[in-house]
Amino acid sequence: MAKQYKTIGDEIWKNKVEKINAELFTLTYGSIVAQLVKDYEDFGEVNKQLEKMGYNIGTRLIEDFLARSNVGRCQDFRETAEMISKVGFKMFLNITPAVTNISADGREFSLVLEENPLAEFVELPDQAAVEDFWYSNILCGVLRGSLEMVQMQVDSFFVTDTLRGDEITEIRVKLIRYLEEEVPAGED
Amino acid sequence: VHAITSKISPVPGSSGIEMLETDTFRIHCFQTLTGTKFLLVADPQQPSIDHTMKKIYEVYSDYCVKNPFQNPEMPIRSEQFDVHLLKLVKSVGGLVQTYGSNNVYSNLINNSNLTSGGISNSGSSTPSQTSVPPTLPNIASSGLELGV
Repeated sequence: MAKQYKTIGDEIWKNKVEKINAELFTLTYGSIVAQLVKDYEDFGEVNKQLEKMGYNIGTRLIEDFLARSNVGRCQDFRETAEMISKVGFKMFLNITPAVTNISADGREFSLVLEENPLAEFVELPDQAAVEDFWYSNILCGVLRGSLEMVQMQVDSFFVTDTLRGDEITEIRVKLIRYLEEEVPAGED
Repeated sequence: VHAITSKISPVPGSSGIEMLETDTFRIHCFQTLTGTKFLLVADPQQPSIDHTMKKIYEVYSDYCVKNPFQNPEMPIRSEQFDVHLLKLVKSVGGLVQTYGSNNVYSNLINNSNLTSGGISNSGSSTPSQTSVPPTLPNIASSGLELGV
């Protein structure tokens, strides 16, 4: 099952995706974060803004993902995790984070990123190391936004980050609930 | 429409209308996993509708979704979208009926099942109020007619 997703992801990356220069991408993201830090001067607030931006990206990104990957609905949350890591991340960032720490009820999982294209060449200022600052927090927003558009309400947050001196970069994704389609009264 | 049709469906667990067929035309409904619905009016003989629908979805996701100034709930006003859609329709060998003005009338029936722009605590959906498309004139013309 996992192999099948990997093949889908590889194939889309090879053929159906337009590519840009990685340095340009890293620099663009870096300047966004730097500007936010300058404007807000509070790392907690910057985290929130990055997550919000990610959310807006995610709600749009999912349409592109579905249009290009042509995949059907996932049967359970585990499948969703595999889909995100092998097809989603592959398609957009050309990385395949590992899916780990799946909870017993299958409603939580972690993504461990071996490499992070957003944070290449980045070193956090000392002040950021003291406070809880997640440089790549936009990714959490993207996950939340895109999953919400496919009827899943999730909570996604960084657990550790190599930029902060931790061993690994880990994002935790928790399923809060499935969103059922509801029709307001009087629609009929 | 979807709510009504999924209730009257003879098969349980239906996801709503997929196709409506009459003597002179067929209406196809393509629903994405995000709740966006595309309605396509076509000639009954028109082949490879599924493939065409997927291509339309791709054009939509390129020129509407990726435009940061295009609000998902609002009617689509994108020249690029119109241009590429026309190209696609022509390539499938269809004719495009224009209504009134020179522009193709675009009113994509967009029915997302979540409130856009943030999580609403009540969890209820607000389908956008879209006007009914004008009565299609002379549908008997052969080929693909895009009544989006």
